[in-house]
Amino acid sequence: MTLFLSQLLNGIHVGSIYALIALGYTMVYGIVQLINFAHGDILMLSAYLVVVGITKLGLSPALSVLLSIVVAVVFGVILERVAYRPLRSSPRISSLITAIGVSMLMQNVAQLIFSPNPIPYPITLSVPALNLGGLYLSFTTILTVVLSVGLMFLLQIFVSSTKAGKAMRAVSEDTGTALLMGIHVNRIISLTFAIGSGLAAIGSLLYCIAYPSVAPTLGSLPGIKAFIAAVLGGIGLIPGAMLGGFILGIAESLAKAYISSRMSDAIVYGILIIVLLFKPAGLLGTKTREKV
Amino acid sequence: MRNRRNASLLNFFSLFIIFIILFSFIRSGQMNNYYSNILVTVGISIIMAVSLNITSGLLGQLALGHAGFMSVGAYTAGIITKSLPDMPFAFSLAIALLAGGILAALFGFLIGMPALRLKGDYLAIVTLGFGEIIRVVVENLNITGGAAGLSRITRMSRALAVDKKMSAAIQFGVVFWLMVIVVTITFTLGRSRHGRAILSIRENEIASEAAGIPTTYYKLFAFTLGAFFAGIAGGLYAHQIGLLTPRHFDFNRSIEYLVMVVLGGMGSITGSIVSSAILVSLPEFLRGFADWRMVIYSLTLILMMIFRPSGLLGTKEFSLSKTVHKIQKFLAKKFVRKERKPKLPFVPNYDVWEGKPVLTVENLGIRFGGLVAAENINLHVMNDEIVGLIGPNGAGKTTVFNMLQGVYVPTCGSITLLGKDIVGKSTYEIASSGIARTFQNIRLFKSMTVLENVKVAFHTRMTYSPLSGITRASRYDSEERGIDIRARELLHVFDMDDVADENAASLPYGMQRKLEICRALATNPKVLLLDEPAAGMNPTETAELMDTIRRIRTRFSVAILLIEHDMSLVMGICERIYVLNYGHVIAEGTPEEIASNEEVITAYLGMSNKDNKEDKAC
Amino acid sequence: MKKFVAIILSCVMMLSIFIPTATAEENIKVGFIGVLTGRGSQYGEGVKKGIEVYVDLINEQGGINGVPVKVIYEDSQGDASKGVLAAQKLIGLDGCVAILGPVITPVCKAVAEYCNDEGIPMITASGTDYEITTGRPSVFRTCFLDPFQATVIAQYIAAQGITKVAALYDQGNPYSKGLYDAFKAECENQGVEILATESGSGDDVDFKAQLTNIKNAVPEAVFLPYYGEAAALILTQANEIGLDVKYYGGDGISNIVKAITDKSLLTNMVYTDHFSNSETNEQALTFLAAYRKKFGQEPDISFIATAYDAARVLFDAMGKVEDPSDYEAVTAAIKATDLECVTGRITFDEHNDPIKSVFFTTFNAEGKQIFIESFAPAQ
Repeated sequence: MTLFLSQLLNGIHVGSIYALIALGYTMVYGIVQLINFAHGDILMLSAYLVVVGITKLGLSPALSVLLSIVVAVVFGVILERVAYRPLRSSPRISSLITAIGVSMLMQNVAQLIFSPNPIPYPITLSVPALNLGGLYLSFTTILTVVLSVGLMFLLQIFVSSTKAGKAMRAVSEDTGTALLMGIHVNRIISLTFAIGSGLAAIGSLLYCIAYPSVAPTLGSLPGIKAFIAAVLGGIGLIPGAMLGGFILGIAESLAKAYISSRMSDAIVYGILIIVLLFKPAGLLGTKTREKV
Repeated sequence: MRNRRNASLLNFFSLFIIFIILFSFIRSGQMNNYYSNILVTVGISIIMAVSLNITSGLLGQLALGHAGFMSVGAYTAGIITKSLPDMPFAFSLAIALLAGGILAALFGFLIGMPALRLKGDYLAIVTLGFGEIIRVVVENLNITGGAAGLSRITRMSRALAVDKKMSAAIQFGVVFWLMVIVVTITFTLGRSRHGRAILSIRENEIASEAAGIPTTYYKLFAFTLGAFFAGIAGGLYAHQIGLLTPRHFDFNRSIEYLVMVVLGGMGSITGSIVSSAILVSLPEFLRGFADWRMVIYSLTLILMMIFRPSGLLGTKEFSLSKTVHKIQKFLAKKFVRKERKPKLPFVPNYDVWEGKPVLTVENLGIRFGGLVAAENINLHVMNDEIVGLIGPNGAGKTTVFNMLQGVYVPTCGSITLLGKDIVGKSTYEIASSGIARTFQNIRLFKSMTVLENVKVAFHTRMTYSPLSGITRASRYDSEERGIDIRARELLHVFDMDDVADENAASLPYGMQRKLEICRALATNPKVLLLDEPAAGMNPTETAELMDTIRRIRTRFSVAILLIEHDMSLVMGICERIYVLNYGHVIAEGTPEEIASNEEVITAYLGMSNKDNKEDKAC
Repeated sequence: MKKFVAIILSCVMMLSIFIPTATAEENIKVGFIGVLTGRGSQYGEGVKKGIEVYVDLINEQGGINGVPVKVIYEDSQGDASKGVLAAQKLIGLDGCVAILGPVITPVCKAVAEYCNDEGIPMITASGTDYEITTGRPSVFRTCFLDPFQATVIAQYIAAQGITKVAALYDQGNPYSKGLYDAFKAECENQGVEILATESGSGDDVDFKAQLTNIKNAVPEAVFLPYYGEAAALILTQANEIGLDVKYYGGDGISNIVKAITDKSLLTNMVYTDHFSNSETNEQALTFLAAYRKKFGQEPDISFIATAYDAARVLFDAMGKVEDPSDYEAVTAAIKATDLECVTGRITFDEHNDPIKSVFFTTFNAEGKQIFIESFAPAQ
C-alpha cells in the first residue's frame, strides 16, 4: 500500500508541474488557437536567467527568480508581437511552424551562449522530506502541488470575475465581435501571453528544483507533456489543463511502476488517444458543433 | 493540338535528359559520391514531403506522426532484405520496398480510422501519439533490434551492381524514378475527380459531404496513400544508409518533413519538391557555419512564415505540373489513338413523378439532450413546386434542412424522398439520391475555381477509378470531358461563363450564392433546399434571384424548398408556405392565407401568451 | 514574378554547393565527425576539444614528419545519414585522408561502413558498441567496449560480496541497453541476483516511479549505465525518496560532477573510467597541462582523453609511413600501434579494439574523483 501511495505521490508531483505548464499552453491556445511550441522553451529561458542571476550577477535567489519571471513575461509579449501577431490572419499551420521555428531558435541560441553541457540549477530546497511511515513526502512536492493548484484557482477567479478576464473569454469566443464591442483585442492577447509566460517561469522554478539540470533542451519534454495534458483535459479550458496535468502525471507514474517502465511512453499516449476517441474535445471539453 | 503534343514530348524528354546526364556523371565517377548522396537524400525527402503533402496539404489535416510510417516502411524493408540474403538484391529490394509501403499503408489505415474522426489539433495530437507509440514499440521489439536498431542492411550503393560507381548510379536511378512516379501519381490523382474530392474536403468538409462526396472514405484514402509513399521512402532510406535506429524516426523527424511541406506550400506538389531540395542541400551548403547553421535555419523559417505564410508556392503548382499532366494526357492519347467521345454524366429520369409528392416528411422530430429542437413536423413538396419554410429565428428551420440531408439524425419520424426512406442514411448517400442544398453561411471550396466547385458535385455521376485517373485511361478522359461540358452548361444558365476559371473566393457575394446553387444543381437533384438564398442581398439582387429560382424550377424540373426571411421573395415565388415556430409547424397554406394567419403574425411579432405570463411573474 | 525569383534563387543556392573548395595547401588533412549540435553535443564538443589539444601539440613540434596537420571538423547532428554525408565531403571534397570520430554509436556504425567501403582509416574515441569494428579492418577505437566494461563491473560487484542488485537503464539508448545486457549476462555467471530492472527513456527527467520500485525490492546496489546528467538527477531523486544504496555505472557517468548539486551523494557512486585525472603517467600530465592551458578547466568527460589518444595514435601511425594518404599503409601502422597513452598503453587486438584497462573511480564529498583500482582485461 505504501508503495502504491508513494507512486501516486510521485505522479501527483509530476502532474502538478505538467498542470502548471499546461495552464500557459491552454490560455494561449484558448485565445489565439495557437499551439505555442515555444512555451516549453520559456521554461528554459527562465532557468538560464536564474543561473545567470545567481552565478554571474550575484543576485539573491529570490531576486533572480523575480528577474526570470519579469524577463519571461516581457519575452512572451514581445514574441507574440513580433512572431505571432503578423500571422493572425494567416492559416493556422503557418503560426504553428513559426512557433516551431521560434522554439528551435531559442534552443540553438541558448546552445551558442551557454554551451550544450547541462549545468546544475543553483536553487535547491534543503528541507528534508517528511517520512510518514515509509512514505516519503518531499517539501518540493508539497510546495509544487500547493502552488500549482493555488495559481489555477487564482487564474480561474481572474478569468471569471475581473474585467480583463472576461475580456479574455470574449476574445477567445469571438475575436471579431470582441473587437466591435470595444475590447482592446491586441492588449488582451498580449496580457494572455504575459500571464502564460509568467506561469511558465514559475513552472520553471518548480521544475528545476525537482530536476536540477539546466540545458538548452530543458523545455522540449515538459513542453510536449504539458501540451498533451492540456489537450487531454480539453484545450482552452483552465480546469482542463489542471485535470489533464494531474491525470497525465499519475498515469505516467503508475504505468512506469506497475505496467512497464519500458513502454510507459506508449501507454500514456495510448491513454490519450483512447480518451480523445471517446471524448473528442478532451475530458472537460464540450464538442462545439459546427453550425451547419 | 500539335503544339501541346510537342510540349509534352519536350518535357518528358527533358526529364529523361536530366536523368541521363546525372546518371552518367555518377557512373563515370565524375560526380563525387558526396553529391550523388545528396541527390539521393533529396530524392527520398521529396517522396516523404509529397507523401505528407497528400495528408496535410491536399487533405488539409495536420499530421504530426508521419515519421512513424517511414519507420514502419524502413524496418520492414530492412528486415526483408536481411532475411533474403541469397536472393539477387534487385529482387529482394523490390519486394522489400513494396512490402514496406504496404505495411506502412496498413498502419496508415488502422491509425486513420480512429484518428480521422477527430478534427484539427486533436487529430494532430493523436497522430503525434501514434508516431511515438510506433517508436516505443520498435525500441522494444527484438526483431527490429531494439534500441541498437538494425544494422548492416545491404546498401543500394554497393549491391546493385558489381562496379561501385555503377551501383551508385543505379541507386540514384532507383530513387529518381521512384520519385518521379510518386510525384506523377500525386499530380495526376490530384487532377482527377478523386483529387478534387480530397481537396473539397479540405476546403469545406460539410459542403463536400453535401455534394455527394463520401468524406470518410476519401480521408482514409488520402491518409493511407500518404502512409504508403512514406513507407516506400523509408525502405529507400534503409537501403541508402544501411542502418536504422528507432530514435531516428522521432517527433523531430516528423516536424522536419512538415516544415518542408509548409515551406513549399501546403497542397503544392512543386512546392514540396523545391523546399525539400533546398532544405536538404542548404545545411550541406552551410556546413562552414556549423554553430550558426541551426540559428540561420530557424530564423529563415520564422521569416518565411511571417512574410510568406502560404509557403514558396502557396497552393499553386508550377507550370511544369501542367506539362506533366499533358504528358500523361499525351501518352494516353497515343495509346488510345482516337479521341473518345465525352461521356455525359448519368441523369436520372424523373418523369414518373409528375403530379406526385417528391418529398414527404411525417412526424419528424429531434431532440438534443433535453432540448426539443423540432417536433411533429409534417410537410410535403410536390413535383416541381416551390415551397417556403419560414418562421422566426431559432424556430428550427435549418434543423429541418439538416435532418433532410442527414446531417442530423431525427429521433423520430420519417423522411421519404422519391418514394424511398432516407432517415439514417449518410449525407453523401442522400446527396446522390436526389436532394441537394445550399447553406445559410455560404460554403464554397474557396481555393478551387468556380468550374472546379461545380465539377466536385459531379463526383457521384462518374465512375472512373483512382488508377484510371492516374493513368489517364480512356474512361477518365471521356468522363472528365463529359462533366466539363455539363459544368459549363450549368454555369451558362447562371451567366457565370466568364468567371469559370476564377477562384471562388474572389467572386462577389451575390455570385457566390449563385455558384452554391449551381453546384447544388450539378448533383441532379429532384428536390433543392435553399437556406436563406437572399441573405445579404439588396432588392435588385433579390428580384434577380426570384427570377433565377423560377427559371431553375422550369429548366431543371426540380422542386424547391426554401428557407427565407425576406418576405417579398417568399410571397413572390412560393406556391405554398409552411410556418415554423419553436420547432413546430404552426401554419400551412398559400401566401395569402399565411399573411392573414393570426398565429403567424403573433409569432413574428413575438407577443405570444407565454411571454406575457413571464413578464407578469417579475 | 516573386515565385519565379524565389525558384531561381533556390536553384542558385543549390548549385552553389557544387563550387569546388579551395585547392590543397601543403598540409595533412584529417576529418573529424561528431555531434556538435543537438542532443549529445556535449560529447561531440568534448571529443573535439581533446583532438584540438593534441593537434596544437603536434603542430608545435612541426607536425607529422615536418608537415603540419589540419583537422577539419564537421557536425553530424547526431544523425547517421548526415554523418555519412560529412564523411563523404571530408574525404571526397576536402582532401582528408583519415577520419577521427564519430562520437555516438549509430553515426559510428554508418560512417564505419562507409570508411570500410573505401578502406579509409577511422579511429573513434567514444564508439563503444562492439559491432562498430566487426569486419572492418580500417576502423579502430581507443575506448574500451561496452560489453567489456559491463562485464568487469559485474565481476567487481561480485568481488565486493554483493549478491542482490537492481538495474536502471535507458532503454532507448543503445549504449545503456548494451551495457545492461552484458551486465545481466555476467551477473548470472557471478551468481549476482538482479531483483528489479527498471528503465527510463530518452530525455526522461523523472525517475521516482522506477526508483520507488527499486527501493521496494531492497537491493544492495544499483547498476546505473547512464550518462552523467541523468545519473545526477537519479541520485538526487533517489536521495529524496530515501533510497540509500551504492551505485555502479559505466564511463558515461564521468561528467556527473558538473551536473549534480549535492556533491556528497557522489560518494556512493563507483564507475569505470578510461583514465583518472590523478593518473601520474607522463602522457596524462602533458595532456592535462595542455588542456588546462587551452580551455581553462579540467577535462570533465573521459572521452576528451580518449580523443586525445585517438589523435595521437593516428598521427603516430601516419608519421611511420611514407605517404599519409596511403590508406592501407596507415591502417597497417595503426594496427601495429604500441604506444603509452593518456588512457594507458594502447595496442590493438584482432577486432581492432584497444587492449586497455578500466579504472574504477569514485568521488569524495566535494566531488573530486578518487581512483580505486584498475582492472586489466584477461590476456
